[in-house]
Amino acid sequence: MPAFELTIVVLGVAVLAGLVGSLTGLGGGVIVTPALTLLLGVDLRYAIGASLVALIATSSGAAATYVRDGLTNIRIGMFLELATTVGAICGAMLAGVIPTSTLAIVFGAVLLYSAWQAGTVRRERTKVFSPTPFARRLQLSGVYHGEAGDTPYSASHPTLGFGIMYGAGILSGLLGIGSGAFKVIALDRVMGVPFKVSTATSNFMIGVTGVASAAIYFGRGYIHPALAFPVMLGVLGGSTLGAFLLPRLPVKQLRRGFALVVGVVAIQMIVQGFRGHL
Amino acid sequence: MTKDDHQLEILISLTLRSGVALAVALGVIGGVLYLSHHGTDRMDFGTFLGEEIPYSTLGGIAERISGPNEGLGIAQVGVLCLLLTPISRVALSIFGFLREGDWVFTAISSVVLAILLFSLSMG
Repeated sequence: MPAFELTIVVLGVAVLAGLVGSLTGLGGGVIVTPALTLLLGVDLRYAIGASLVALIATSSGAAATYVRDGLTNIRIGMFLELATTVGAICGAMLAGVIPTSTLAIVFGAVLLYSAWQAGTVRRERTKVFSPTPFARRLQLSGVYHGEAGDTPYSASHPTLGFGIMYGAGILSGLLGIGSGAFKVIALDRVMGVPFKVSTATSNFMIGVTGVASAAIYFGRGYIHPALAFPVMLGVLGGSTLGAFLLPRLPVKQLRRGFALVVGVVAIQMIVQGFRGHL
Repeated sequence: MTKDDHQLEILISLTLRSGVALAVALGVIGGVLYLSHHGTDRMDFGTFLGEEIPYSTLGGIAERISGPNEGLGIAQVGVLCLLLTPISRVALSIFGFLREGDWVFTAISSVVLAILLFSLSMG
């Protein structure tokens, strides 16, 4: 395809991916890779490279706002980044030796799980965790300024959280995704951090985690600028549009619908992986 | 959250925002240049060329900017700026925690920075 047409098509697909990613809360990157490979026949490695770039852009942009508003817990984020960055480097190394068809299957499975997570209604956590001495020593605590007033919180189970984050880092490096779903689970369910703080802190960590593997991918030629620039601009545009539409749309019903679409895409990815087409 | 922490938050927020803005600006400028000169070139991302593409090294990018494809060279510099954004954020935090006299977190941030630099050196 001529460069001009291809760029326009990629830009369009990226806008859609950013929009769906932001409306489902899955993040733009996780949808853009299957869209590029399944719809446009882009090599999985180029798709992963471009999606990592888009991921770093969207998460950094969103993190800027969350950090300014004091929603992000920088200490908890920084502590857990020790685990996610090492995991991401391991993941990127693994990606170099795993066949792309296997990568596609793993990608599909992770996407399927994330879609299921996004589609199910989140239950409010009622159990309050008490901080371990280790968490207290690291000052892994903060105050959440919610609608119901200020709630102090403290992270518990830092070691288990650390372990899950290492796994999230591996997935992130292996597949070029933010693995935000897993990060939020570790923060919210395991460490007992308030959900909004968990989301903001997870977002904060995605950029640094992404760079840890993107730097390696860059040297391996995964990041082709002709694909990376329209994907980055498109996903940024799409997720900005999503953030604008989010409070104006019936999110709950939409979430279900989109999660279903993403689930179908995930299965498609697995099938194509098994057929060896990706 | 202390007052110093809040100053650090503002600074980090600014760094992230300007890094993304710079990457977007370079992406747009580079992209327009690329499409205006090479818009009719046939492009195919179906085959992975790996390190054969000239955009995986600083030298390769510099060479592109100076001649054959300045647009994509500039766009790739934008990508590099984007990669440097979270790295600068971590570097900034080291100074923030150092000023607060928080040695544990100064050390943690330094290790994270070291991991990122290690990754850069492998790329």
